[in-house]
Amino acid sequence: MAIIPWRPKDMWWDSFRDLEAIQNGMNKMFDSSLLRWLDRDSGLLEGAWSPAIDIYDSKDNVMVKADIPGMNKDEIGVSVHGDTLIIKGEKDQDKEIKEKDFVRTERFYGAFNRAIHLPSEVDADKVTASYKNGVLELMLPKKEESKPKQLKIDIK
Amino acid sequence: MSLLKRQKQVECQPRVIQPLVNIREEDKEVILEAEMVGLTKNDISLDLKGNELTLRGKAGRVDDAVPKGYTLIHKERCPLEYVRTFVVGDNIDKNKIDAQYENGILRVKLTKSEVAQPKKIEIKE
Repeated sequence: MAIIPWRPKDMWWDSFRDLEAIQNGMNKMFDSSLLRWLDRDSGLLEGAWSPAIDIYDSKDNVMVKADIPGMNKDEIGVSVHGDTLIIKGEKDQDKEIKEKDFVRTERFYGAFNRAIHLPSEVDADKVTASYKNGVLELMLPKKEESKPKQLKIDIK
Repeated sequence: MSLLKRQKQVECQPRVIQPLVNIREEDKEVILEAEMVGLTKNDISLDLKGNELTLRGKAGRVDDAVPKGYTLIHKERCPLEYVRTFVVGDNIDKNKIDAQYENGILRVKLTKSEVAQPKKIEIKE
């Protein structure tokens, strides 16, 4: 007898289901690689960790919030290149803690890196950051030339 | 097409999750660290009922709302509610549990009862 994976009886006849699953998987892969924001549920990021972020936009500023629990202020690095924001950092286990003492470790340790495409160019010199309760909050003032301009048109 | 739909991810369903924890056991105490990001001290509760210790983090963070004058263009930080229960062993002194919240981490220190702590026995000559 051929060895095939067991499945519930009503699924026996539906051999297209496998093909469909493959097609869905492929679609998802192509979609996410073409996206600016990688789909966090796709499994492509498995093993790596990157902070969850929110991006807000206003006339003068871009505001970015990121969940980065359990870091020190100076372990987080923020840099801006044009309209790309990069947040990175590294979290090490405390040196004095012995590994054998751990009963359970679920939290993430190691390096992370995340690049974010901002809605407009920002002034890198005027960026301000705060870190509170595990949330990094960045305020990025827009460059004068990339602010939306309001033209007053005289109607004669 | 899904490409267009997902480029603007602004919807985020509220979820109830178990916080991720690290637990380590030292000679005199057991230390539990739970990741509960973006809350304040007052949003967190810690209840001991019999030998069940329950951590709770209130749903709805202070900054879930869109700030005034801003429009949301991308959202991944979903509103979260944290709940997780642990069974505390008999070797823990139930009156000596304290907790501290810092940088999104709740650190609970459970002190072992005198009986459970390792003792060095002196050998007489």
